[in-house]
Amino acid sequence: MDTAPDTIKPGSLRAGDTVGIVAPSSPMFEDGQIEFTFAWLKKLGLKWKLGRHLKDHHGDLAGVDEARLEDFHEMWADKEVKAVFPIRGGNGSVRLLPHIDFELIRNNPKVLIGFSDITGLLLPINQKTGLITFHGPTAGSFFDSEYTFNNFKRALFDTNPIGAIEDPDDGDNFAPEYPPYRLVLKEGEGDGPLVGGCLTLIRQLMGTEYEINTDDKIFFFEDVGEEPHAIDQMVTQLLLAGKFDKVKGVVIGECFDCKPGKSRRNRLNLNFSMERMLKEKLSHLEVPVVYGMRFGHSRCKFTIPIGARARLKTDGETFCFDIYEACLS
Amino acid sequence: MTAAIKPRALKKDSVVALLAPSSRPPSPVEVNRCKALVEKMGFKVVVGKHVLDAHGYMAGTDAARLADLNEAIEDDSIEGIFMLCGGYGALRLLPEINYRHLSKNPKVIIGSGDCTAILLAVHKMTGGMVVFYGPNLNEVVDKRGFELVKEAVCTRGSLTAIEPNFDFNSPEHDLKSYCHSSIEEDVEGVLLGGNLTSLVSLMGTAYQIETESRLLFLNDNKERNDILDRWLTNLTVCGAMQAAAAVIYGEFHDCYQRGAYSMHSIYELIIERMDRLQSPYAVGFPLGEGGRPSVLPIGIRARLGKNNAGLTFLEAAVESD
Repeated sequence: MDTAPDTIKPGSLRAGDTVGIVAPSSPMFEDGQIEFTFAWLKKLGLKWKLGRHLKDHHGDLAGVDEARLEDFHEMWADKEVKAVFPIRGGNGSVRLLPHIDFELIRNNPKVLIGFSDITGLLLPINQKTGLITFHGPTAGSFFDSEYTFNNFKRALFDTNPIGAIEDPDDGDNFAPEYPPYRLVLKEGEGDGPLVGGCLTLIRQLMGTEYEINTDDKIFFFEDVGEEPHAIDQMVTQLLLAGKFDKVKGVVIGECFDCKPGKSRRNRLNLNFSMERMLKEKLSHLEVPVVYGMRFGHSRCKFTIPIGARARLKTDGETFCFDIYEACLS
Repeated sequence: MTAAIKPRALKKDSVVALLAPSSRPPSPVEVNRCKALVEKMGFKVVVGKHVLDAHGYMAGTDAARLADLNEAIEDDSIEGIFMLCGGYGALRLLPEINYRHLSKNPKVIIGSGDCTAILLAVHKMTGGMVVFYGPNLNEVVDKRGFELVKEAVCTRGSLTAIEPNFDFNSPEHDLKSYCHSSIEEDVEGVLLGGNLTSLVSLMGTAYQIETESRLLFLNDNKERNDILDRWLTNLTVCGAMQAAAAVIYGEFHDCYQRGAYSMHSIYELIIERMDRLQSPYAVGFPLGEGGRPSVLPIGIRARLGKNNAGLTFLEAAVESD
């Protein structure tokens, strides 16, 4: 493994800045959805530039690889653009990796934020350049809930550390969605830089030069529409690859639509719940393991800076997930 | 390349173990049907003790499934291991399989789907033992499948070549299926491959495949096209796709598009990718898992023909005695 590059922190966003909206993976479902994005960017006082191929379609991709790559590179090269906001995940980011100009990115550090398929850019860019990247909402979803919006703003506009993560305010919700926000599978305390993302993407990078490095890190992951047996296969692969050997802590997300029968793929008759499977696979670890926090595909999601240091502590009554290192310059 | 380690061919009264290292067969009736099938092939059958155990989506705990597998491996009176079904769970067993014993006492192992992980791990960790990618017994539901499995494990010489495209003179051929290829000259290589999802689950682990100058074959079933595209991208980004001499794609039976926004069929996704890489390939090849069945011995030399993508086996899959 190469020695990790020095950490680079992108500049914070402020009103008046311009962001670049691109589609490195799949396109918006409906072109008009971008109107919501514009309205919410205005509330933040942000201006925007659109990738020229933002509305291209090629199968489930937003245009052919060359087109998506061109837009992505253009935004990094554009001095006016302070942040790169993918409009959506979907599929296709990893196809771009062999052609991405990491030097260009290293020399023009800026905010990159997204989740799901965008994990395929967040992880390799962080690992290759040292730039802190943000696992958070896309340009099409940062306004999905008040919680999502507030956490997004807190991560990208405030140069202070993000600090302790608080759960969504349940208000009058008498029928909460399972799992609870903080289901502790293993108690303990750990401290290290954050790394992780969507599990399917983490698998997609295995065996490549962009494979995730989890050593001495707090490892977070989640997925969507994968039943427990499918998550099990990915977690088992990571276990066999030693990806849990040196972690300092594990934070597993809600994993939306990952309950048995929920995926609409429904391949096995008998099943275990996520909770039971995760306990069986990960409770032998000697670091804290938490399941249920809301990030990634959860409607309410907090933003996680990949590469910034955090502390995870779960013992008895105490629970603390504190992103204590500032992630912006 | 080191010479392949080959098991002995099975013959009348050879003892065969039926195992479920992944998910559970649906019922005792199904286990009995599979047992009857294998007895009809002329073999004596031992059914794994735990095949009907249930542990979530698996046929018993890891320890139970592993005990069945290692017992069959270590019992030298057992000459063959046939997998009852796929599902999920094989990957969990890999670190504890007795590869050492197998490399000294090779035996016929046949399966597919999730059991691909075991085939590929055994092939790699034994230093090249020939294993058979072929139907799990729950997929052997007609005379043709029955004959294929029987032929593959009993034939002492090279197996019959696979002619993937229909021949109007043959009543046996399924006129629905057709194999498309982009091969300008015959390609030779050692066969390696299996179920794509299972094969990709080995990436980054000690069991990761090495595709250099191999005839790589890939198949899957009941999976979303966009997910399959991800796994093909994985093999491309790590260079495994380009390193292979040629790639043979199966029929990807029951694989489907997510929603109505993605209009590309899995074949188009494959063809576009392979044309870009300028690597020789065949797509729509009969590889079972819901499509037309075949048995491909992993670890033996074969030739993919430029005409009609016929696959000729250039050596026997078993040791000649």
